[in-house]
Amino acid sequence: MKDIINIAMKKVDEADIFQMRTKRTLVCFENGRLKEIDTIENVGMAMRVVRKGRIGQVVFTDNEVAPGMIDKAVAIAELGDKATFKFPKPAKCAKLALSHPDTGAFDAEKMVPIGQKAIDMLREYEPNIMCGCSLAKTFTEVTVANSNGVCESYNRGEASFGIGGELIEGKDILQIGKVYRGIAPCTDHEAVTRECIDDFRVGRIPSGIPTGKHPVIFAPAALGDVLMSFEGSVNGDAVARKLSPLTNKKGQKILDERITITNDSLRPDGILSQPIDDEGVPSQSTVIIRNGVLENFITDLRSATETKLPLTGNGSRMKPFEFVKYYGAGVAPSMTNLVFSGGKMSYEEMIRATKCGVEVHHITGILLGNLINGDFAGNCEVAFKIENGKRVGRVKDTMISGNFFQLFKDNVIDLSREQIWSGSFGGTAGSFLIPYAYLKDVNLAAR
Amino acid sequence: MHKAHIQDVLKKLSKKCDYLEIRVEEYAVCDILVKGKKVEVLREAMELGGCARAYHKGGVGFSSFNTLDEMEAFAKLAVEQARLVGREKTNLAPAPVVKADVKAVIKTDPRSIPLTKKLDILKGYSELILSADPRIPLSSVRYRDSFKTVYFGNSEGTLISQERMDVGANIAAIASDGSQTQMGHIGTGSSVDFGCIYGQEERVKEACRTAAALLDAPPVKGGVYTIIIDPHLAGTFVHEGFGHISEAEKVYENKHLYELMKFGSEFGRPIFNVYDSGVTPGSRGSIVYDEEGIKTEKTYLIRDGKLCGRLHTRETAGKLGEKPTGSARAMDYHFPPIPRMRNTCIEAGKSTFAEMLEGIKEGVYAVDAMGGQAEEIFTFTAGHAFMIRNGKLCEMVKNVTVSGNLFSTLKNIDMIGNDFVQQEGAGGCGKGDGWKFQFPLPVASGAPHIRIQNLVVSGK
Repeated sequence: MKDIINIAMKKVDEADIFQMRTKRTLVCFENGRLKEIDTIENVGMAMRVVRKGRIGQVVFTDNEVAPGMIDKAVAIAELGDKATFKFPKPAKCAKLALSHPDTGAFDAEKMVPIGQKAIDMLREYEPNIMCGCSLAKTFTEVTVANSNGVCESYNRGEASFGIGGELIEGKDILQIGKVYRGIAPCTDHEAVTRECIDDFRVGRIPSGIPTGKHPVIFAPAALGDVLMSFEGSVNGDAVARKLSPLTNKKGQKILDERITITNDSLRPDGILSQPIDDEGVPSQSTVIIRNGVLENFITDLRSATETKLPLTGNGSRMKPFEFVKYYGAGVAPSMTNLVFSGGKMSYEEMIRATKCGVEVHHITGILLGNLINGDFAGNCEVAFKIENGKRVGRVKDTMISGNFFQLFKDNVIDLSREQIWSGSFGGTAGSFLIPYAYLKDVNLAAR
Repeated sequence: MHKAHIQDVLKKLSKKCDYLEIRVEEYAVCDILVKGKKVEVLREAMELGGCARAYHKGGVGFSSFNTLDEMEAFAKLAVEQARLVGREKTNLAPAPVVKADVKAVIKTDPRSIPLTKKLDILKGYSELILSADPRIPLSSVRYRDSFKTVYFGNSEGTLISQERMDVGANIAAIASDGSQTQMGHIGTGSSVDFGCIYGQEERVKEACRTAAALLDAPPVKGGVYTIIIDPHLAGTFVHEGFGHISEAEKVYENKHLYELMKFGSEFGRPIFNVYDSGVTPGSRGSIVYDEEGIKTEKTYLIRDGKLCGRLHTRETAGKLGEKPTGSARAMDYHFPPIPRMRNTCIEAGKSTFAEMLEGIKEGVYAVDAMGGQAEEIFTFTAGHAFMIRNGKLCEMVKNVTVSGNLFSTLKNIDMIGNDFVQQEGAGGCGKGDGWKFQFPLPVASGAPHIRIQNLVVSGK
């Protein structure tokens, strides 16, 4: 890495390199039986050079082509964007334990019987469920180096367990899935599988709710879905582009005072914890919303420089729509671990307190909307009707819509005491620590 | 060089499993993003990587790697993994042994266009947007071209090298009035011609007018409507609403879904015909051989309203006793092939747009797709829309997201236009869960205007 920087520095004024090595073992059960084992060992790097104040970027997988790619980067820099920012200087980074010993030892031989047991449990409940299960461990080794002398590496390990299936009854297709993702392998696969069975049990009973405004319990995964519209607006990039509706609202109360939202890159139990971001800036914990008041935006080098907002170490190379770290992606601000404060009620109390409402677990279509101004709309893919304090059946063919900022300012009944590592799409799964959110008067449109 | 290497490894390992294939991909990509007056992304990439996939007694082992020197070790790992999994019988549909070197037939090669020239064109579109309306402060012009050579060999003796070109751009105008942002956008793309990037000025101007008008447009009132959707959105609709469920891995071991998806089942009215084609000239969804070495084709999925085909890999075809369709596709060497769409189309019908409007008391004309997502219930978002009242197009409305149950919605298509439009854009299709999510695979779609009864529209 240093060699490549040294070669580049003969031709450019500044350079940085992000190298990422991924090693993954993945075991997949499909349609009720063991189907596939994958081993992935990929490596790639991204290089940015600054020459005469302009940036050139290249991506490559093969060290041998590095000299040629440096020349390419130099040529690109002739035409490239002005470098409004400077690469960081070496700074002290937090020492983090990013891998659990059990994750290293979690190999295919261990994964197979766990997956089989989960599949058997689900099939014992209902043999007609087409079950799937996947177990994986992933190690991501990242090195960031630049011409200022930054050279930091870390190797982050994580394990995941997903169980779910599809049940077709008549013309109703019910898909339920539960995912665990953590720095150590799941210790209670049965509990995750039981949750799945509980949702199948209620979900196969048809129910519905009329069009109108109703109390809604957002389960952590669904809250993760609507948080995507929040994330877009606290992103420094949206501020730099003058797109964020929150641009001039720092210090103002924009959400219910019971809500505190933190981006914490240093949590020992967070799967996206890291000592540095993908630009070599030391990681930190950043309070974005404190008691409803907007305190910070998340930034990378460019957006922090251009907006004069504090640098938060959220420069990420993130694959769009997948939200996984990827050497081939450009740098933009992105959340790592997101922590959403809990409240007073328990989840059970929320259910018991609801006379007629809906518990939403998964909303589809959120990413298709406007992710910057807080508006969201999507289909209640997995949602349950609550009647007189009990979950009584599935709500389907129903759209849910609203504005995150309006709903979480004026309509919050409470947040649950329980906070669960959840998420939304792709790589965000397991990186949001969030409660159940109990809201009044949420728009639902049913057929 | 890569072909000989693949052949050599296959020779050593093919007796240790039922089936083994190795794919090596070498590609160069150019990515450009112009936002406003800034060139935000200007990046070139060169990738070299490979993967191996083995079948043994029905089990699958897959490995992906960048160190080609270790191809044999990774292929061996795939074989070992397949042997660990396999407990039943490998059942791949028979395939002819193919030896071929496919050269890309290119009209204008993006590699021959200097970077400065590409930038000038894209900046031109950006400037056009910024000067269109004072309420449009932002533009986004995203461009990507790639040239890939795929080397493929399998233990049956097939050995293919294929070149693939892909080029496309998405151009968006973003309007803002301080409290809201709205977007108008266009896409263009091709598998044979950089020329598709030229000459988009009129479409870009139209996108600007739409973005500005959306600022003043009221949100649609939620409810159930008769909807006419334009060819662009109809293409997205057939892709999301029907294409994905035609991908055979959903059906091949699921007897309930298989029952629902039996050939001959009624999916729409007799006017409804759908195909998925890998052979549309110049389309981003067109290929020659798929990632299993099967020659691609045009596959009818629905004829006269009745289900008649689905999209296969050799495994899904083998298990269902059907023929492979040349639609086993993988995003790149990080992934094994799965059934994927190519260019998914609703065939032209006989109705005119005026006939479709007739008799609609209150409805929505939804135009342009922002995207879509599908499970049993599909969701898609229109770029913009107009209310229809008493058979006439009325005011523009925004925030039109529609969703519906696949099975009932397709039967509710009561009119199909005679105005088929082929739609190419940049971007592509995403599919798969968790670590197996593959995005964006180049695809295309085509459709005429269609009219659907009783669709749920979300609103405020």
